[in-house]
Amino acid sequence: MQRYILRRLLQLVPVLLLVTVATFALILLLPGDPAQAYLGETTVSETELEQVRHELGLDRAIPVQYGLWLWRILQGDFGRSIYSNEPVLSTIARRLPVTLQLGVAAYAIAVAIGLTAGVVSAVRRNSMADVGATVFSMLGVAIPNYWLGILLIFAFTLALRWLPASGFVSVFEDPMGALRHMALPAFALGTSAAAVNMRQTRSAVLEVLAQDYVVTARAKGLRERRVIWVHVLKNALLPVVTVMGLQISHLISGTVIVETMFAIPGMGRLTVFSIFQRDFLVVQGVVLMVALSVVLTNLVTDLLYAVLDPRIKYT
Amino acid sequence: MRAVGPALAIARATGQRLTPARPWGFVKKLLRVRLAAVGLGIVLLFAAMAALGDLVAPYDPLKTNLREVLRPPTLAHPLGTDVVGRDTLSRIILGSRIALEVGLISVGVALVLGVPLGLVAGYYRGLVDDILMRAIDAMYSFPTLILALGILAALGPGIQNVMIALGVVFTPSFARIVRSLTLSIRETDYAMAARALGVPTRRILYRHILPNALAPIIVQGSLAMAFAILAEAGLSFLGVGVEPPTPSWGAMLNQAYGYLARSPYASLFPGMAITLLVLGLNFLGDALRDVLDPRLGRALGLR
Repeated sequence: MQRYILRRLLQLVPVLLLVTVATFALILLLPGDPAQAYLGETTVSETELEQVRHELGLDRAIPVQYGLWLWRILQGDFGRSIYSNEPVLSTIARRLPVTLQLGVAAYAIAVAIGLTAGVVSAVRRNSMADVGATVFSMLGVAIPNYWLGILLIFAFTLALRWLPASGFVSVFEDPMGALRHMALPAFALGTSAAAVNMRQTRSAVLEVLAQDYVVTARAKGLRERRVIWVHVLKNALLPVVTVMGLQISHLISGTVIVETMFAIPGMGRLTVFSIFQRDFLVVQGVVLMVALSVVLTNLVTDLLYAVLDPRIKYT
Repeated sequence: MRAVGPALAIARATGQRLTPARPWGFVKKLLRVRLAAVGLGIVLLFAAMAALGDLVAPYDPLKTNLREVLRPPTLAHPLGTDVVGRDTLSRIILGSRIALEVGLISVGVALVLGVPLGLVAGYYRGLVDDILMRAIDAMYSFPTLILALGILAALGPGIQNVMIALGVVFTPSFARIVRSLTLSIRETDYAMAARALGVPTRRILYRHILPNALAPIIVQGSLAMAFAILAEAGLSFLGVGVEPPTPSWGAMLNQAYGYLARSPYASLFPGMAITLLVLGLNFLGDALRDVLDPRLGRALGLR
């Protein structure tokens, strides 16, 4: 087990390096002068610009530039935002809790709906509930989150006047207000993940239901409820864990759109805003941070899987 | 819960039926077979709209009419009009051209980039495979829309750049599938025979291995196309995709969204078009998978 963890960590090194190379390449593609981009809106003379270029190593060969860039990143220096002149790292750090709150809420919805609907439709296979859940899963992956958001706003904000359609309230300051503000965006974001979870759970549960030990459990007269909750679910959830790990990346993509349409001041909205402001260092910072967090969650998912499934020997 | 007797438990587990088929099971089966036809029908409908475009659109999709702004559906405008009085139906018809174009070309880009990568990695294995696969892992670390936005930030907005960005985004999924297929196909008798005969590697890859890997590629292609259409509309919704006044469904939603209280119809129909086409492509993809390669089901993710 320890050797497996160690090997996974070692495999991570080249992936992380390649992630930084790709992010660095984004800046190379950019139009304009990177030295000026680094300085932000500060206007300086040509000689001073030359000076900055030298300090940043922009007059050096590209591999050297990459090394210098990586060194700065490792020290937490992502440059400054052109728009706010604030360091990129603190710009991102301020938005992170907002996006996390939205993500956790959406994830909770995805897991709660997905698992329940999946188990019910597998256990009551071919019932009306199963047909309903199947239709939900088909629609769930086809409806774009931005359109679902529009429909939700129309129904719950404009028609029923139950819930607000924009703004952000921290759950630590006002839990009820946070719940009201999070409800619509979290549903818009979490529905497609719920649909995928439902499908995965359904097929996993169906597969486990056909296993010998389930037949045995039933044959020895265990109550159906105990068979499902103890014998089936524990084993069926294993493959679902992998899918749920992969969904983090999918949800992050969604936050870009959902945060923009619900006016939530998180990282997703920051990304879109920065693209319009041509604030490339912020875009680069977000892209890199997001990719790193995806790599780490994938690692955690894999390790979790190894811990949860004692049948597989990892060496 | 009701207790289950051993005979019934065994019958259930082995898929035998002791009780007559439940009516809803029949509905589900019907749904599966019908869905393939429905999917094909939807895709063909949108393809026809894209091909005929101007011929079937009742109005010029770019022509504004400030006296007929944000109208609900009427006889003259069956799906209503938008913020500047353009006919929604005509814009949806022409929008299907953009959607399918982006879908086809971005998947094409992903095929051109991803298939050779997968073939080479799977055929040569070893160090080449390791390096390529780590690179693919790295690309997978970028959430699709974030990567697309990063590329668009560098290249600038516009429909061509959207196609390139989405093509790059989808490359890893094709590379992975082709690699895993190549790994097993290269061990088949005919591939080994070709190698023993001294057939050039290039020829083995493209004449012997690729044709046998086509089925899963086609399935993944149709699913990726659905995703590309969602992504293009999403990017256009954010305002970084197709530039106005070109009728893109996402851009139409972007424009109508601000006027939701005045006219929900302007937001309703473009979203419906996206959902319908994506649904159709998904149905088609699922049906193709059932027909072409039943084992593949679980291997494919959302991407």
